Amino acid sequence: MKFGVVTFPGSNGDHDALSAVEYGLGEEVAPVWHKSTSVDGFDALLVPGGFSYGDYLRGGAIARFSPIMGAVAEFAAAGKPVLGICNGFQILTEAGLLPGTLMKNPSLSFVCDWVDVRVDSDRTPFTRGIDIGTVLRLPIAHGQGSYYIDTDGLDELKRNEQIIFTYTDRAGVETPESNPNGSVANIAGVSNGPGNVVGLMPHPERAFDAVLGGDDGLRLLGAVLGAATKEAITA
Amino acid sequence: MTAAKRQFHADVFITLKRLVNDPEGIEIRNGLHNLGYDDVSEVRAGKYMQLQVEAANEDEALASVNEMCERLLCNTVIEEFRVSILEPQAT
Repeated sequence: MKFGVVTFPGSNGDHDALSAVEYGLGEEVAPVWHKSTSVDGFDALLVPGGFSYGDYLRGGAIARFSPIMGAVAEFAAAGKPVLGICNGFQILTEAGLLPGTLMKNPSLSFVCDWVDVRVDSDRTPFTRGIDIGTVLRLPIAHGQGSYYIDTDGLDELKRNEQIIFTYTDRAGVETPESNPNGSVANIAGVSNGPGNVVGLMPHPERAFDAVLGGDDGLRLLGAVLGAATKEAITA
Repeated sequence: MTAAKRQFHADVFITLKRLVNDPEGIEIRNGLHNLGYDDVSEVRAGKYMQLQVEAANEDEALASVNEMCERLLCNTVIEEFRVSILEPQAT
């Protein structure tokens, strides 16, 4: 399986993502420069974290008009797996590929920490095969990560099972203390309607080896492999 | 004969929607209170941009800048915008 890591000027999680796939999963991976207009040959795309275009205007606002984004949107529309991490999540919401938006943290501070994140759905390619309710330990690092969606939008997310990750305590219970950034309903990650496009603020690609503090992130990246195999078997 | 395009100046104001929490505005208000300006009950922080736009007339300039706000300058999930077009300067 071949992963593509979409890289913008100002991305800084691209090499983490490349390493996680190459060394953590042992799968094929290559960067995709934002000036490119094709993602042919890739089976899954990662949109990594960072500060694309210096976060000018808003995180992800300029990156979403990069030449590559047309191909990313087509890839997503074809039902193929796309994972937006941190700034990548912001870019996918700005591009309208994911619902809601990410606001500045209410603390106005950049948060850099390890958090507990509960998996709330296994219907996406990045959570398939993971038991619902599983609590993963993942790092976060962002200043604009407060997930916001209006009440109607939140109802729709719940109805369609689009809330994929929730900040919780170690036991998997969402509490105000376990919400690091004031996100609505402790939401850490969501999917699009069909479930093939997922975005989250925590960094699975920075947790692919115990030596980095944890390897729970590999379970998300690795789930795609299981998903692809499953699809190949059913096809 | 089509009218020649002229330069218009557009002021763009972007603020968070009323229902959206504005932590920066709250912090600025607290700062004003610390200075003794207790009469300030609310501050809403936002962005201000100045654009120079070529258009045939004021309506066209306004329509064009409104579209720019919808597509890029403003995140309409959480923000709202106001545009004012100034008369072209005599050259």
